[in-house]
Amino acid sequence: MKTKKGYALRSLGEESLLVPMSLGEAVDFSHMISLNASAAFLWKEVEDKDFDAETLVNLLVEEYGIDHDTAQHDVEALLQSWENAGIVIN
Amino acid sequence: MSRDVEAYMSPKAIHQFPNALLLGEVERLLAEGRDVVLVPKGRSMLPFIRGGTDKVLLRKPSAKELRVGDIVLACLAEGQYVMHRIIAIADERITLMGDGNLYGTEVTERKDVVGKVIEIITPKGQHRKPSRGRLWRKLLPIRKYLLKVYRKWNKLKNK
Repeated sequence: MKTKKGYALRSLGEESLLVPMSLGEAVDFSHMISLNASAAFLWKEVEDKDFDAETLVNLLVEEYGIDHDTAQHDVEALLQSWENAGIVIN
Repeated sequence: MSRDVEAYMSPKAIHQFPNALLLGEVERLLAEGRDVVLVPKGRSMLPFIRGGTDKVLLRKPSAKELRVGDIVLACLAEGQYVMHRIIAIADERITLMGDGNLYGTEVTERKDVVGKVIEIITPKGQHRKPSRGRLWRKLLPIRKYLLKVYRKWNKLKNK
């Protein structure tokens, strides 16, 4: 899968905002997604690249030193919310 | 480079509506010349803008184009924003009041107006220009009753 194009990640305190940035169009805050630190880390790592759940799991394990099962569980939930928000394309 | 396991929090993506923090970001984008769409909160702009329901399209106005009747987003103090209608302008001083409010005005300056409502967008996707609220402002003495009628009518409609 791939991240959907046309978003800019803007940091806002502890959170990051995924701001839709199509040129010439209004920035729509009613479709705004906010990512916490670890979700923003993953987004930056895989932006514009081909990736799958395993890519994200490995990134979390490497970056945060957590165990594989926890990472897998968290990635499943995250991917579900990314898909619901329409910000990744399969 | 590995971070501390203790510092790990499950990655989360949340769909959220503007709060004071987000409005700071809205102000920055408007200053960059971008148009911004957002869903305002609250009842203070009833009956023209229904908080949590209608969207508004905002654009940074030039200081000169502001007029009585414009609905604007203004920064009253650090992190404190309000979206109300201009009811008076005297040089740099601008007085605001919410259409859905009976008392209470805010005084701000031209330079603190960060955006002007260009369009109101209903949930059905209809775009309309905001009215200047001329009649509504004149009817302030009986606004209390008009708002009551509006709320009653709205309740009936939504039953």
